[in-house]
Amino acid sequence: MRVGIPQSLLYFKYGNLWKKRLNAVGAEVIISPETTEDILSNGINHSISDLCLPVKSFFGHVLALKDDVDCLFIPRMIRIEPDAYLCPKFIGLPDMVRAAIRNLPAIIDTAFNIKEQPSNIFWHEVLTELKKLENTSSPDKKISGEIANLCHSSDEAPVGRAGALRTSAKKLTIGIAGRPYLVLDNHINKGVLRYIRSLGIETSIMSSLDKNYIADTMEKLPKWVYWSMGKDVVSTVRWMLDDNDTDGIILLSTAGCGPDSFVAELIEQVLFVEKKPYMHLKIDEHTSDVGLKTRIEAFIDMLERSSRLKKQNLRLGIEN
Amino acid sequence: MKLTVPHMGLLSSAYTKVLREHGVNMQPPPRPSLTTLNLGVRHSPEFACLPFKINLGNMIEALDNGVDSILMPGGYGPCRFGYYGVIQEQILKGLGYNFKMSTTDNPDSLGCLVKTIRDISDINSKWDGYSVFYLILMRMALFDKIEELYFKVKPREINTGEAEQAFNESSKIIEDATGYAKLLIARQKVKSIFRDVKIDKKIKPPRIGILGEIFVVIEPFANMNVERRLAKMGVEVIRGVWLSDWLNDRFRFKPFRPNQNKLAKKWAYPYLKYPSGGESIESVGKTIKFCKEGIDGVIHIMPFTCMPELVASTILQRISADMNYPVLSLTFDEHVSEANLQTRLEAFVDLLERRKKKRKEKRDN
Repeated sequence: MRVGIPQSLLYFKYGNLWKKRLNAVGAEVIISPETTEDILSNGINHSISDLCLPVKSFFGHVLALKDDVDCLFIPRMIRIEPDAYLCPKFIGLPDMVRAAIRNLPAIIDTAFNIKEQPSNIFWHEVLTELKKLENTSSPDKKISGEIANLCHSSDEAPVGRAGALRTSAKKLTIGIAGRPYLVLDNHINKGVLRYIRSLGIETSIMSSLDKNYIADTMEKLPKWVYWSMGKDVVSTVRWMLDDNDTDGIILLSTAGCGPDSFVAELIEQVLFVEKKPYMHLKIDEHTSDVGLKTRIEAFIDMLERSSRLKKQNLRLGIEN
Repeated sequence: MKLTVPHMGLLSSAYTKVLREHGVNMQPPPRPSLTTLNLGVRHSPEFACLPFKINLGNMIEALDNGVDSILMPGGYGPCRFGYYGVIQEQILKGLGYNFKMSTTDNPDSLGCLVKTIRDISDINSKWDGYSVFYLILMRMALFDKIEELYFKVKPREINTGEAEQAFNESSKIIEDATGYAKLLIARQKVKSIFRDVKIDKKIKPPRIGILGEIFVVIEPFANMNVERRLAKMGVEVIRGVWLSDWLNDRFRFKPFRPNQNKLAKKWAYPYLKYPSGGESIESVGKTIKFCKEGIDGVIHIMPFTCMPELVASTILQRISADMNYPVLSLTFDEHVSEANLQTRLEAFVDLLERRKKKRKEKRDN
């Protein structure tokens, strides 16, 4: 049984977990390739224009995958924590895929709603669906029912202390905040991280955030953010503002992203971003490379000036 | 305390006089206009949805007129509406305004809303609070009723302008009915006013369903008066999203009107299997229902970047293809182009009339 997972959207957060679980029950997991211009433009051609870029890319990945697999794994992610939602497009994602793309294989669209049922029930339902499908598809792999053992371990991404991934802390470092499917997909983010590194500046991204740190950040806001990824973004920016090794922060978001339109505003209003050089980059398929590069270069100029000034003040004994 | 609430369709007409009679100094902002929109756009985040910008503009206008308290309903998602009040308060305080913002954070909770009414007014007893709340709901339902009657009557009226006259007269009567007895009388009166409008019963106008995000559907400024434009073109508008339905699904003051949300969930299956927030399930479910009922076409209205309606819009395109059913998707934001809208509406109505003609010719042969 070949199960396809598009390398897009929540793959960047849960992909490894999903692969592990599906492999454990005997499914062969096939991941779509990394985003390319072809994949993206295919996706755009199948979407209505107002959709955000990552969702359009998702459609492109489905198109790249659909003819090589027996079924697609597109769970309906409603809530990954009890007091917040994911963006409505995640909730309706399987239905949108069915509407926008024809000649699809079966789609496993089991709903994941941690407020209604625990994750082991979710996986039982997925297993049931797989078994049903196996009866009507190629008998290459046998789906077995041993998922119960796996479900004892925690389902969440590893809960570590807030920490960023970086190679060296000597160079100037820009913290890149944003949703994982934007920050980690080098085609959709127009190679922003690569470009920054090519100019000799280090980039750091958040690997995992402590749940207590996120909860504490929510307390500091006038109202907690009720989108899970929005919570992560706000907490990441706050962490980077306080981190001594981060010299500047860039918030990457997609033009037309619903939650980010408010979360970015909240960050600017409430988190005192005047502490450090901060820039909000909005990207969509029309963004010109030249425009992006200009803004990044200007930002780095500002960073380098600010860092020189700090060192000067330290030598002269002036308080920052 | 001078209290204001940003406009949303005819809702302010439903509560303003009633609350004033109970000691609330209500100062509604001016009805949304280009001034409102420009003010809102200037101070809103770029990709905030249109209702946010119009609401913000209304709040600024009201504050400039001396208001010192704002009431803004809240919520918990997944659509952005629940976060409006938070961001708006930050923006306005940043602009230097001094005011108190209250958000009823749980607009689904009867107790929460009634408590809000008692907090702002001179109503003391819980019973009176519930009584006033339900009075407001029933007034809202009656306002919705006269809109429905207007849409039925307008394409068939013999003397141009009579339908508008009837609507304006009825509006005034409902506004003045600030008690249950007066409301009962008002109900009979407005029905008879519309019955008296001279209509040509032989006219069979094309019927168009209107669905989409609730604010842009019921607030005429937000949708550039789409419904009235269609009515003037001789179309019978069948609106599928009513504020009184949203309220009735939660507070059950129209016991014979079934829960529209539950019905929409049934109708939308299997195209949309789970509500994606906002009015997405109604947009999909009622389009299918309208198609099966023989309504000639659907116009789907949404603000730019509205997340639930993007889900619905993607699915509606497929429904339109599968069921050979005309669906026109209109997206609204602060860029206002009347010529564009009018052209698209005329083209759509032309399409529907041609299809009707073809069906009639087929039947006659």
